[in-house]
Amino acid sequence: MTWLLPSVVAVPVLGAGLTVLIGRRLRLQRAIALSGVAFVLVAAVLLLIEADSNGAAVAQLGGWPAPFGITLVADRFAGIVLTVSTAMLIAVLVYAMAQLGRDALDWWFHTKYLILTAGVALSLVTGDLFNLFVGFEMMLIASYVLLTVKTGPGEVRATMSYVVINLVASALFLVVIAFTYTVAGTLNLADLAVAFQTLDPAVRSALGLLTLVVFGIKAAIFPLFMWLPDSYPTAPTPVTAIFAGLLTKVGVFVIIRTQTLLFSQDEPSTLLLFIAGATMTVGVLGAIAQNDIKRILSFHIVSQIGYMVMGLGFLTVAGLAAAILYITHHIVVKTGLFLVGGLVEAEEGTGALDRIGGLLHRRPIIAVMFLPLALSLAGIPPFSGFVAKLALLQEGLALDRGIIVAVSLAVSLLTLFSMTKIWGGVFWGETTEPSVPAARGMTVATGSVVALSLGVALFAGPLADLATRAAADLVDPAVYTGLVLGGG
Amino acid sequence: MSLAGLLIAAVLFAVGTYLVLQRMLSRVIIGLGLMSHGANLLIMLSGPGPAQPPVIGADGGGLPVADPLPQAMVLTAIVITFGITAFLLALALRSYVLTGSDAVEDDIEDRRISRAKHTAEVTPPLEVHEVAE
Amino acid sequence: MAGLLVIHIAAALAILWWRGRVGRRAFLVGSVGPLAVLVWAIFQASGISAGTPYVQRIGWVPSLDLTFDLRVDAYSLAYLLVIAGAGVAIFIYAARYFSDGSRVPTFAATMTIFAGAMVGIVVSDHLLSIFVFWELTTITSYLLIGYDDHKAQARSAALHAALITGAGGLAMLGGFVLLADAAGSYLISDIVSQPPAASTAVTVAWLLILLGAVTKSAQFPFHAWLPGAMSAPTPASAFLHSATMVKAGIFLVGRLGATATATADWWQPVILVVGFITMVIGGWRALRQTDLKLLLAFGTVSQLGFLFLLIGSGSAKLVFGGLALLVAHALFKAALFMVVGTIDHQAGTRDIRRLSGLRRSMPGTFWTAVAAAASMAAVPLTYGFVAKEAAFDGLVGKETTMIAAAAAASILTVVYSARFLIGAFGPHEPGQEPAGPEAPVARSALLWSPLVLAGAGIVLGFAPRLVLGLVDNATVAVTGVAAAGKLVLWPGLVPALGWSALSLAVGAVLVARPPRVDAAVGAVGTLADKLPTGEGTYRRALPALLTFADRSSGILQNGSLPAYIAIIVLVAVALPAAAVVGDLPPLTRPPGGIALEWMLGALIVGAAISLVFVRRRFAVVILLGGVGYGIAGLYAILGGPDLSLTQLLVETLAIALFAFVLRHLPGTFNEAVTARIPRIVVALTVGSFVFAGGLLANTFRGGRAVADSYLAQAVPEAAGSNVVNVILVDFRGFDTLGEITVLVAATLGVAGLAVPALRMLRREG
Repeated sequence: MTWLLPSVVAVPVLGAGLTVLIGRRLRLQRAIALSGVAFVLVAAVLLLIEADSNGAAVAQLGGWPAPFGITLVADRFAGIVLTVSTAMLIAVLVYAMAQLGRDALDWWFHTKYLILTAGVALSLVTGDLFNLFVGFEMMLIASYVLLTVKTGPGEVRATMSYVVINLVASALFLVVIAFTYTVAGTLNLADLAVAFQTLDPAVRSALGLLTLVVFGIKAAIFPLFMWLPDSYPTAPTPVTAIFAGLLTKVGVFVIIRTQTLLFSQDEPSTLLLFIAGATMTVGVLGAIAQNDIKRILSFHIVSQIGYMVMGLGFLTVAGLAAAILYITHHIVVKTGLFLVGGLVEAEEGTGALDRIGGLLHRRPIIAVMFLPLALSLAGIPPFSGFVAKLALLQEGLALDRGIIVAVSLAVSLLTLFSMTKIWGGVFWGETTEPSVPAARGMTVATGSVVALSLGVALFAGPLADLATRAAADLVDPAVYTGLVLGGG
Repeated sequence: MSLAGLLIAAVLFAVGTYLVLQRMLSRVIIGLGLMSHGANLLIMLSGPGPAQPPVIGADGGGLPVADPLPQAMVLTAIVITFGITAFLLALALRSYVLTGSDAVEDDIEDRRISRAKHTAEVTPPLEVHEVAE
Repeated sequence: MAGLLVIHIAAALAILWWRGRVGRRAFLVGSVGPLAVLVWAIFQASGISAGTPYVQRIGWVPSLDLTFDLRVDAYSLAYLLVIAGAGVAIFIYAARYFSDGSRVPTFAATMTIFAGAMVGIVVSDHLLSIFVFWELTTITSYLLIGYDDHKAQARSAALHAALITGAGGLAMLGGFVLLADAAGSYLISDIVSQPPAASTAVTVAWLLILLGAVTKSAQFPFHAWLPGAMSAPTPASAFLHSATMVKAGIFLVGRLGATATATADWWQPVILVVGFITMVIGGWRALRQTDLKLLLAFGTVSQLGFLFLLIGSGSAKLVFGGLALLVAHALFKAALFMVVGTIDHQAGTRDIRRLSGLRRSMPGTFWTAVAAAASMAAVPLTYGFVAKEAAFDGLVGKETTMIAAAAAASILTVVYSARFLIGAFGPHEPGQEPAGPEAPVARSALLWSPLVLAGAGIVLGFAPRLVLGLVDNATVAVTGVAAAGKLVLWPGLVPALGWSALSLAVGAVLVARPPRVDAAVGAVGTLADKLPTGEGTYRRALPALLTFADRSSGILQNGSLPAYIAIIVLVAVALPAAAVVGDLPPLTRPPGGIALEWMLGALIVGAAISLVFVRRRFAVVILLGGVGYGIAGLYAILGGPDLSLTQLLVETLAIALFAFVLRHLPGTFNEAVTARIPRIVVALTVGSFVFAGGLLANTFRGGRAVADSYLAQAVPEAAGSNVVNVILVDFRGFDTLGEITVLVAATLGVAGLAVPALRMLRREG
């Protein structure tokens, strides 16, 4: 099964190359893009199965043993996130095809999308610090160019902020790599974990915090999040949806990976919990202040990241399992919410709450799709968000972390409030002029994401067990190093 | 690592940061360029200092052999940074064509909200008919 | 049992599926749910009453202890019968109340889901499954209240209810988890049989759970959402906001009351005080309403207060009275709500001041209302009286203030009951435009449901035995002891009868002199309005929250890119600095560097710093070249000739591009930099950080085992002598693959942006 591991990156890259070579043949480009992403999904599922039975799928690229070559590692954690992410990538691709269908302006959308897929996959499975940089850059450059699918003044402005911030983050990432390589002489994550065990604790802790900041920018944690709500909402819906669902979560994934693997001895637990609380609070307050669907949802991305960091902050199996569960749930729900937001925009021509109304009566199907996602986001049972939040709540109280638990519950209420604002603004109220129904494919794609989110709730039991096994691997770095370096 | 190299990297970062903190996109781009120069240099500084190239069989005149890995990393990073800088330049050009300005403007919606005065969005209270006195 | 819940869901889905055709018959489809529950409950009644609860477990997330444990004992059974009985009557009523409209099926489906959730609450033994159903009722209640969604008032009332009960629900969830933590189980049956030892956590748990119950059951000071919820169509008000949902909190305190009393000595006093205040405030405010529905709503608040303190007290005698009253309340209040619905339907208004002549035109409705109101006022020969007697009987022997307060509330009840009847069926007020029935004869279809419920309130008065066993067993189920309470039409000359008689007598006197009552109410009313109600707090808090959200986001999210970057780099410096400050080890000084390094350094630094000051584009290009080529030189010194060449090449390309773009940008490379000093400070901070970090990293320099093994392996293993190349194409080929991909994507991006931009520029000439 290990031969599959490089292919989750290589196949979409090859697909991207193909789409360039065949030129402007839209149907063929679509077929390539769809099959490329579908391949990654199948591979991701197989890798997850492999990881769950053997601990991880590990590929030493070129046959060079770690730490000399680049190692790719799909453990349970990476397998889960990769699977959910690619499922969303497919759904959003279908949505995008329906929406951008007649918009022949952008011939290279599929190329960029495949590169994004490859970048996400590489960032998740790489076991090498510098290769992670490369994976991030692939993902980012694809995201830059996707943000400018339309090149109006708003998009250009938003993209500028986004690119500049990310370049600053990339420069800081290189600083981390430089310092890390200087003190450890290696880049392989497993090898680093071993090397860091004997490093001066103060230095290691400083390096850990710098790493946290670098990935915290991508993950949009407090106080590094401000770029996100300014840049995401301007892009076309499919782009925003996939950014919202995936990119920040890749950041969270890498934070969890590095903090547990490399810096677990230093346990910046209280700091992480502070960050978690501040992130969720500031995000939800920002959401309350907004008046546009996509901007509201963008601020909620920030707020929800706080919950994932909260799980990490506990630094226990149950806490990390809750975080993994949260990531899984959130990727699906957030993507779905943006797709619904996009449907509303497509039909009404705007996302401004005060200019829409009464959609419940004209397009009940959109309301029916919005409701479970919104309630899930707020953590209302019986939807997936509730299970993830309950896991956090139980672990928080078991560890006597009452303050963060109280904050998280209050933020849940404010999230519910903010969702009722969308509901009241879009679906209730005076019925506005009827408008063009969105393309069927968009609705179908959104519906399948909603169905998946219900599936996450329904199968929360086995998922929670899987997340717990994944978390158990994370808590003990020796598992990872053993898998990569052999021996133990 | 040499003191000289480290000082250069630090200065590149300082000047880069200063330029990045400005509003003109062309200056920001220069600033980012300086920062990534600094970062690349920092990676190279993980090696021993003046060294002979890591080419097997070459004679370096008594200098230590350079660590090849940072060089490989910097090569990759240079190319990646170049690609993104080119994109950013195109963005600057596009922005200028669209807005006639080279400045990164503040986000309009953010500014609207920071100025907004919320007149209570709570709808009027329930009409409770009280008994007239 | 779980099948019953599935029936509700299936019925709701069926309604939604055929929403185009089903019309108002949707409610008949929906009534299948309550009907099934009713039948089930009746068939199970004997076994459950005999003391064998019906138990069922459905797993969900076992690792989080999240399962659906259903357990129907006699206490649950009492609620089940109330919910299902009221449900069947109200669903049938609703099927006639509404006219066919496109929104009706959705409404019916939501109400069916609600009915299922309500059943779920009362049959759950697992705290978390109670929470799941609890929140489901909150959400469905939100959707039902906002049915008339074009009215701002309906939307705001729906939000009010959702926020208050939602907040309580979340607090309760926290309490549940704490309680389960302390007790070692989420099952109420376990917690009751083995109560947790008293501790701070348990105290907090009880408080939070109480908060959930108090908000849901509209207790003071959170009661204000309930009158607001009257924006809902009347069948929903009758079902949710009088017969069922608001009883959920009472159900919960009843379930846990005895255990809470045993582990927290403040529980009972708090319950009593909250209940009494609610009871009196609700009764008082009911006197001042002119809208029949609001009058009933405040009456409900008052009754809920009474039920809350009785059933939540944990004392067998009070629980007994409370449960008896619970049944009575469901019967008369649901009937009265439906009466109001009929009046509204027929006369087009619910305003006491305008209604006129309905007694003659709607005799059936009138007599129904009389029967129900009599039961509400606890007039002898009604079941309301029987139940009230039982309640008074429980209170006798407790503190006199308590029983006096209960009597005061009873007096208010008598007065507002009369006010309801007189207002609805008496003449209109002088000076008001009278509103009579628009349809001449009340539609009998709207009569049956309230009539059956109101009639039951009379029949049970004569045959209280029919409920005695139910109430008795339910009391035993939650308190563990039999109350030895009585449900009889004539209790004999006991103190309780005295209190009942006193309440009725004073009430009757007050009713007989309405102008004076109104005057007194008006006078005290202004005083009472100054008391905090919770409603005012909510109405102030919400805008305050919005303003706070605006302000805080306005400050943090100010839209300025330089500010964002400054924050990011400062955090990037501060966090690691904080980690090493204090235990910073002694730093080793690296070698200074050879002369060539210093010379190149001077070139690079000079050029970089000049870049800050120059204004002319040409100079910018030259200086950029200086930096880039200088660095290329450094790379050569550091042992990277290939790297140096690449740097030269890339730098040249980059400068060419830059010069090309600059040619099109505004003439002067200049801007008025404000806040120069802070920018310089941030810049210097970052520079020093890099410098210090470099020194620190150098001090803890690690080995170069990996590097050396590359050198050793390159030729024998990878057949290449230029080790850097070997690494790029072989050892770390994946990096290079990524690098090429980035270039492809960047090219696409540049093409997408530059082509239209250049085209526009060319057009402009």
